[in-house]
Amino acid sequence: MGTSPRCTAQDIATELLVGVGTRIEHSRAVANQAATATDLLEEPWGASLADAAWLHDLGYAPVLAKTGFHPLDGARWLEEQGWRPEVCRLVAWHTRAGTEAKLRHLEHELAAEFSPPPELAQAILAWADLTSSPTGQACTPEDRIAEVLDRYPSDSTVHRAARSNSSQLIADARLVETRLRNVKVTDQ
Amino acid sequence: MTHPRTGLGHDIHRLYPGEPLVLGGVAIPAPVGFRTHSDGDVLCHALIDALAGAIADGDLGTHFPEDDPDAEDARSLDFLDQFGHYVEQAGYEVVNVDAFVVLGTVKLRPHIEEMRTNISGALRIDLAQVSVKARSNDGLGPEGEGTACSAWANVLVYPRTG
Repeated sequence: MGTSPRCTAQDIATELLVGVGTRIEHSRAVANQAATATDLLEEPWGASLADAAWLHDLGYAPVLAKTGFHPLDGARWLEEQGWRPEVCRLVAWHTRAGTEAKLRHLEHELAAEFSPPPELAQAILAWADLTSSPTGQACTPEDRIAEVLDRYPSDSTVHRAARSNSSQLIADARLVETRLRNVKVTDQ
Repeated sequence: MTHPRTGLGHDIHRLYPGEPLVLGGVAIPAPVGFRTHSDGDVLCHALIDALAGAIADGDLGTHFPEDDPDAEDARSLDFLDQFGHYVEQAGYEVVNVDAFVVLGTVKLRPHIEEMRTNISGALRIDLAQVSVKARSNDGLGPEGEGTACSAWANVLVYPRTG
């Protein structure tokens, strides 16, 4: 693959996710959304969020899939490639991944290898993910969660994690939308 | 009655792409896994089934019904731990367990020691009292082809003394 931190997050996502369903379209939309909210964070988290938005689903790339839990597979690979810890942590914990990690009996590995990012950084990435459909269209967090619950069978791990996380994810989205509104009001 | 008693247990689940494969409480890196309301751990299920059989007290489903909401997202290793206490309270101690898992498409051998450690911890017995083996089924049947994973377990229990 020959990727390194000198490659941009967009380059890497494009190299590894093109052809993996519509993951690259989704990742591009998440990156665009995240870019509107990076100012809510102090550095190094703002820049890390922008990169993590492109890279959050990298673990779905077949060549990276090891555990089958894509946040951890992606974060481990990025760490191996020398990416900043903040980027790896955001990818590892994206969209409240801790719940699915628990269902997969991987929560100890996740917590041992990557500290959870600050709450607001997690919330912004979750919001960006939830307001971007699988094909990269804008959507509401409610519709996105409903789409996940509909797409995956009710006894699947992804469905169970999404169902369990739904209240937290909606709260994340509301928090970010409120912060963004407040910024706009302040700017006027 | 002071005679030792044996029990035999079995479980099998279908495998699905992208789901977690948990055996003996170990999350095994694999492209396929169980899609169940608990973690689907057939090894722990077979062990509970065997223990229940040894004390002639129902089976896995009797003690941990699938439709029990508490079973949702549960860890089967915790069930085994609970059932180990139940067996003790019934007046028995576990002498040894011998189990094997059948799956032809995922290498299980590197994870066997961790499975043994988990099981010995859950049942509060020494590692030397726990045997776990893996079989590939030589590519035959659903387990050999990797569309299902099964486990068989045999246990020996003895009435507690003192």
